[in-house]
Amino acid sequence: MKKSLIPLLLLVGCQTPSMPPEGRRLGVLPEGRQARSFRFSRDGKVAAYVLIGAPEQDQVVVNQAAGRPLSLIC
Amino acid sequence: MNLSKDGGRVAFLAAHNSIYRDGELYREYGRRQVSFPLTMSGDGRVLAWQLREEGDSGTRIVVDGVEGPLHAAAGLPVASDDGSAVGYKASDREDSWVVIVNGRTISASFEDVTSPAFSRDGRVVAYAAGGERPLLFVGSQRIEIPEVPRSVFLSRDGTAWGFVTRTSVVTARGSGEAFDEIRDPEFSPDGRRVAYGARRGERWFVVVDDRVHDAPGLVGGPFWTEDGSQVGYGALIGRELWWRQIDSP
Repeated sequence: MKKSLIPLLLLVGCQTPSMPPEGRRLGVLPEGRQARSFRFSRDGKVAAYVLIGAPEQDQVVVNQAAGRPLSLIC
Repeated sequence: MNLSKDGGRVAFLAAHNSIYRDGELYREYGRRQVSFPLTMSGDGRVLAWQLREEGDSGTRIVVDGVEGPLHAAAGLPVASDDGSAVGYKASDREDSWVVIVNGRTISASFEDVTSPAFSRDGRVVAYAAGGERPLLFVGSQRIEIPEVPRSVFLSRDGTAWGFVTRTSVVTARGSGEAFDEIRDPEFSPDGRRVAYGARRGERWFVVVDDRVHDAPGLVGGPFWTEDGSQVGYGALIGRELWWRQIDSP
């Protein structure tokens, strides 16, 4: 393949991802659990929230990664 | 819970008045009461909170663990985006409130004041004060207003001001539509437009100037994109968490 074609193929193949009309899905809450105190980075790439313990302890979740359980997080 | 604007830093208050910062225990106060929410600068560098002494003997503001002076009463702290300024309202006798920024009293004494608001670099401070003639103070400007609002906000460079009454957002251009609840008003990067979350009954909206957009499940934001062309917000739809953006040409 000629070297001059490679940049063109890369350009054609790599489209800038656009947000669908419904937006970008950041995550799903576990079934049966509720959450509060939602926070987002300004660009919408990071989402954090408190997963309410019922009756287990609360957990802070950042981009689907849950921290260790703690009592009553605000 | 607090998240820095780039999402890189997180802080929260947990049981037993313990504060966690970036996943680690940062301060623990036991019987002294920490009020929520905590306050974090936009860049995440500065963390501040209100601390009430045992037996309700007074309140102080703590910045990155350094305790400020004791007051009879104080509001929650506010930080500029870059963390260079931390301010709050405080009272040491009945019907007498002042605004304090970085440990210095910057206002006269009033019957009632709002918490301060800052420009992004903390150099411009705004607050509203009550009395015979309610006033909005923006830097060196004094602007007469009909009533003391719930909160005040500024554009990034501090040249545009706004305040939130019980039902609407007011800027120099006038008052927006009335809603049951207003959240997170923010000027566009160029300071010419304003966006905020608003609730009427059970329905949530994102309002951009005078355009009202449905925003079902709104739980975060709205935030302007850096180029001012869109407004983004977070939504919880059922169990799914979404980020959505509204064009704002």
